[in-house]
Amino acid sequence: MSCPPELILAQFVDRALAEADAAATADHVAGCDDCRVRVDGLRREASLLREALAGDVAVPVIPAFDPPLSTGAWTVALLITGAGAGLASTVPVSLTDWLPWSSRFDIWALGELLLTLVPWLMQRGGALMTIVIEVIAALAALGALFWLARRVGPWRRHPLLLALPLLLAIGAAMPVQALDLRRSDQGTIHVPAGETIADTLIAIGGSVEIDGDVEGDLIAAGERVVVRGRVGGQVFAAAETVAIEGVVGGGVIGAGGSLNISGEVAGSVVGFAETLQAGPGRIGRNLYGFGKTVQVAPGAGVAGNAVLFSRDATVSAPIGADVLGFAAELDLGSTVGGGVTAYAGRVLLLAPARVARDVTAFVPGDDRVTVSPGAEIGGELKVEIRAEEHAEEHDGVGGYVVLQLLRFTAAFLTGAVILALVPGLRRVQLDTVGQTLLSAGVGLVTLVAVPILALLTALTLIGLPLAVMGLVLWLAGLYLAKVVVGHYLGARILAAVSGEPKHFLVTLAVGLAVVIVAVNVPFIGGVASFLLTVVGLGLLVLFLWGAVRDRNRATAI
Amino acid sequence: MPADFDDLYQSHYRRVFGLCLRLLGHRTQAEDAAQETFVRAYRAFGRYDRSRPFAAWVLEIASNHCVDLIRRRSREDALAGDPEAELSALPADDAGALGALISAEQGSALRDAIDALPDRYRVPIVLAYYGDASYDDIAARMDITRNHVGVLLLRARQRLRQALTDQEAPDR
Repeated sequence: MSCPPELILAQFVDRALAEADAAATADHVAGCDDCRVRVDGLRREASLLREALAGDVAVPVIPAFDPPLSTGAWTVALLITGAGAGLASTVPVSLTDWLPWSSRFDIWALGELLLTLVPWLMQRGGALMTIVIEVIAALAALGALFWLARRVGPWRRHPLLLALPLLLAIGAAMPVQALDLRRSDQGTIHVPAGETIADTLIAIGGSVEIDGDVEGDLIAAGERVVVRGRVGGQVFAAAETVAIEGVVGGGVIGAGGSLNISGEVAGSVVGFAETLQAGPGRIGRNLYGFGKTVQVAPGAGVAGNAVLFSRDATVSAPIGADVLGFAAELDLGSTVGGGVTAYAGRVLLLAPARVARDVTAFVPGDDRVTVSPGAEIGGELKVEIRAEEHAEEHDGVGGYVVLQLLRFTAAFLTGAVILALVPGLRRVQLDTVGQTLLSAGVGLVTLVAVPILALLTALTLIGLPLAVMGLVLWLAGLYLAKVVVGHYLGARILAAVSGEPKHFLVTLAVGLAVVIVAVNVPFIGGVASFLLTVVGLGLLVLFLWGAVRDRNRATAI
Repeated sequence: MPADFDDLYQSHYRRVFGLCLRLLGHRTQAEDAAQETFVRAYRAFGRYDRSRPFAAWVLEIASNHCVDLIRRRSREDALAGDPEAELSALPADDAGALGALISAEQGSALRDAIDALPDRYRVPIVLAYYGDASYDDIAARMDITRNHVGVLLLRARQRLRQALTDQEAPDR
């Protein structure tokens, strides 16, 4: 036998060779002086390495060990969190009405969310909103606190640092109160007729009434905002009741329980309100209306497009360009300079409707589009049948299976991409009751807090893009939640069955199949879907947080 | 907290902290990692097989956690590179080089050289000679093959010899 290479000799010294190889090497070394010298050298190297590594790890004081919270304590904390969340959601609309966590996830769910939540919050005004937001903030802080207590080592030893996020989170709710506090006169802020404000006016009061002239922008918040005079720039208004009866040189962005535009607006109108009425009056550019009821009333006119997201959308005044409607019911009874595109439960074209170009209706059935005898369509009437959420009930077993296969495929493709891009997500752990509860708690807080925070941010107007981004990420998170949980479940199932880790795509496929079956079980499917989503969302948030933390640490070295 | 867990904590903390320090190379991080290791051990204590030495069990938890941290830190999925490339980069056997490591009289010089190794060499060296992990254990933690472990360990030694030779050269 020729002399074995160092690779083999080193393994021989480390007792890492298979028995037969070890015996052969031992035989050779016994008869070869060269190799014996080398083996002795390697042995001494190994023992030097051991000595060197063992030295200088003096720990002057062993820090006290803080045992993690017991599962019982966690359960109690989460029950409190849950009860708090329940309290926060003591709203006429129950959580299940507006949260698109279930598989019924599409633009309709988002629309519903906006339609019910925004006006509700607006309508109840500042006081109730403050309470709700504080509860949410406190819950978020509670979640953060418990999470930090468990996860972040050094903070565990510094309770004061723990209090910081709590204070910060509650501080986040303060702007709402600060808004109240600045309301020094408590009563009406009135700009009388004849008075001219050469600048931008920021008016926050119980009631804001503009009869005079504001040459800049008007930023107004209160229970009631009425513009009867003239505003040269833009109007930003948030109030239970917003009424624009005068003249606005720019556009109007308004949010409120009810928003009425009966004056002249030279720019566009963006309105979020439970009831939004445009007209009588004129809108110089486009109308974007979000609300439970959006009405373009007779006598009004929109020179540009009308984009309507609402439960009931009624257009009874001329629209210069196109109409795009997302509505349960869209009624159109006026002239439209362009075409009409409607994603709706029902579309009604009533006399004297005159649509210059095509009418495209995405509706659940042929019978959902009615064109009354007096109505005219210049182009074509195109009716596209849109699969409804409960398509399985209409289409029978075949359609149902196809729909589920589509869902599986979509989730699988999304999951494959995301797990390939972010391999760390394949390693998320959920092995203990504590981890599961932690994820569920974080997920629940995220689920509730993000839309509310986004709405708050949106109210500042400057933060609108941020809010939209937040909501989009949140919705993406809701979707990805099941993918992540699916992969995790797949890994557990495969580990139990074969004991060996499989390729992540195999794991994903198995897990997603289980998830899709679980969410389709009658009665408990909804609950399963909710739980999986909440846990998955929590996993995602924790993972992202961990990644951010590690990155910060890595750069800190 | 069960009294016996506290005893085990007291008697094993230094060892665990040492492993974390050697793996992560940073005191504060090592303290955090050691705490996290015992938190995990505490949670899993009910499932701990008492026939196994506690040290081996808790060191395994620690090394898993630290390797995870290192992985995330390096933002790569694979901690170790390509074994083939690694193998072809092995220099020819050089018995003379063996002396370099051995002649390093000061343990501290060797320790510094170990700390300066890239993650993929430092991790197996520390696991093998501080954590007393077998090649199979190291392979499992690093998610590589057993042979690759052998190659990485040898490369690590060669780098250490080189580093120590370079260090001594100016004195001569």
